Amino acid sequence: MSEKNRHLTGKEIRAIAKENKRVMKSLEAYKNRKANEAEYLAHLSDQNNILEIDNLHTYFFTEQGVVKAVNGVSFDIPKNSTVGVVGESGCGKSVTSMSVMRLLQGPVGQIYSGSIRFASKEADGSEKIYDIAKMPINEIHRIRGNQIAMIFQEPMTSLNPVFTIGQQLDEVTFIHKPQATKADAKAKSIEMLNLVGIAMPERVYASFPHELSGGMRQRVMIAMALASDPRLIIADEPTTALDVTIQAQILDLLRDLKNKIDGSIMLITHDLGIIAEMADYVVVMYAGRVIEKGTVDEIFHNPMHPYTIGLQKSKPTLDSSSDTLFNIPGNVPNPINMPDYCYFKERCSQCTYACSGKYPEMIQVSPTHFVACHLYDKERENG
Amino acid sequence: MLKYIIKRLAMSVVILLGVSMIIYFLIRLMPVDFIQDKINAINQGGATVSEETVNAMYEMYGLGDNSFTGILKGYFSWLGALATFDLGTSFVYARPVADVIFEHMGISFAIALIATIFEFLIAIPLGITAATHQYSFRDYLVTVLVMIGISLPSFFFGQMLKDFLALKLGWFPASGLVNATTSYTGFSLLLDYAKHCFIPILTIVILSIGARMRMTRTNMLEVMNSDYIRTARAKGLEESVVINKHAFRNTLIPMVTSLAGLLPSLFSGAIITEQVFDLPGIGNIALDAMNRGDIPFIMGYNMFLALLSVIGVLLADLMYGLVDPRVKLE
Repeated sequence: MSEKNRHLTGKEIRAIAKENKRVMKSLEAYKNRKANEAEYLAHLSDQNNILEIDNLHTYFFTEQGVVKAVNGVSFDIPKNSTVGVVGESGCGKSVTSMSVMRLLQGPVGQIYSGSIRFASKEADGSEKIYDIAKMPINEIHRIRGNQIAMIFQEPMTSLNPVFTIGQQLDEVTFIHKPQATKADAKAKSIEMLNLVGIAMPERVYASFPHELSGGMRQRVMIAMALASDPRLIIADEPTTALDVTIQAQILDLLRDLKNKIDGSIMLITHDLGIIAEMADYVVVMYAGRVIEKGTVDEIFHNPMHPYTIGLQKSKPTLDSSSDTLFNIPGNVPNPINMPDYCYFKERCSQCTYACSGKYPEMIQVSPTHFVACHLYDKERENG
Repeated sequence: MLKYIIKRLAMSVVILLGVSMIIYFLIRLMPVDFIQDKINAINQGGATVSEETVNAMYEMYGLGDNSFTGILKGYFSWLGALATFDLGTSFVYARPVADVIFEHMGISFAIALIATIFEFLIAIPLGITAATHQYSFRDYLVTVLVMIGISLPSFFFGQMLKDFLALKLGWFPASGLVNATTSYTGFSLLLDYAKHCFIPILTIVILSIGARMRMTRTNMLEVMNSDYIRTARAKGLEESVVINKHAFRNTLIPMVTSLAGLLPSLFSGAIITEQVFDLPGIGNIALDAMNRGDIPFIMGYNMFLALLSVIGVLLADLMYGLVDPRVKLE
């Protein structure tokens, strides 16, 4: 423990800074390069998917060392489905979504390797597969906001305080349809506000963000995300900052919308209740890795990874007779010096001898259910 | 809105009264004596001034009684004159104070206005680039250069520029406001003014860019890290629109408050720079008046600046209401 938490010497800090600078510089240059479309075209492994994240590594180059916030994440989002990404704070859920949107704060945050393949719908109706991770940053506007829209955690601060709701909504239409007139944009914005269940759209259209409540602002954010008719909506803890009754309304809204817009939703949350209610597929993340993924049925009725089991046990229930809440002991390992063995080993109650070995691989237990745990090594051998 | 302005103006009158009282009492306590200096000068000339004449002079200037009640009386007689818009007559210049101020204010105002415009034009884009390229070579270069500017004292840097640009290269005249040997009119007179004011303006601009640039950079950085900028990017807006529309509009808000401090400084004159370049600006005149105990002038000059400060703060609050929709003036 003392070895891990000791202070870095000046020499070490300088060495880290030098190495970071070198890597960040080359990654920034890669991000800002000009490239032929052929360079970032890709193929989907399954035509039914809209997004495939494949072995994604997103790192933050800090003064203390490289934080591997996303460390080899792979999962797919099928068309017309809701995929819930669940995990505790700091497990890399939001960073994964930021990587998909290419919204990482550079130069510190960078996609280091891996691919994010997205089935983009072109203007002529055909589909083209882009690797978002390899796209130069000045080409990203083809996808960002246009085909993938995002709803953020903080509705209170996510709208620009000096522009009216109308100005901010119209902007989306203008970006994606440059030939639109002001009246077109307004009509579209009002339509979107109606769609998200805002009672007086004309009045909200002319309001400033500070004149609206948190729930209203989140509805506006959703309207903004919908205004461009996206194929994928990423909702990053859309209800965390809202109170429970509004939460339920917003979730109902999202569910309705998914059917209306004929698209997919990537729902990031740490609330298992929301996942159970909303998702078709579940991805469980821990310390920057996917540890288990499967359909919502499989994850809730047949959780396999000790962490997933622990998560479910720590959910408060009304009918429980105990007054203490179950918790998983211990903490997430230091993200700078990740061990080679399973990251959950020190908190796990079911460790075996194999757990001191190398990080467990993904084991397929059913056509849709995967788990990364040595407990199931045997099943893999059996086939 | 109108009610708010009237209320604020009424409050300003109270503030100005307080300010005038403080300034008047401070001046009367100052260890300079205009009359004594004058008599000393006469004495040096070889003549002698009788005791009665000295006392008569003190009475004439209203400085005879230095007790508390005497000072109070002096203050109220000054205030009474002010009520009829009379700032009194300057001791040193022997002319109405208002005339002296307005005669010399023009040149100081012109220099300050031009310098301020350039300061904003240069510092704001520099601050924005420094913020959007944080910790890059560009950021460090800009920061180092403007920090050098901020650290130079104006009497030293002005003198250096004068030495180099005027004396060594001979491109610009070294001091004064007009060419003493030729008398210009019309456009060539204006050109002559411009030539004389170039180095002083350059000095002021270089010295003042730093603070404004750092302010812009800090504000911009704060705004660039906010959630609504992330939203703007997520919408698919181009980076230039994100910076110049969404971010800049928000950095304007704190910038507007700093305009409040600007109004009086436009009229106050740059005392040291005017000294270095021997410009007949208001700063130079005011310093001279201060050294010689010219009470009516100092009162008039300072009250003028106090009035501008009060108006500046009021304007800043009104502008706040314009640029920030969250601010409602009531």
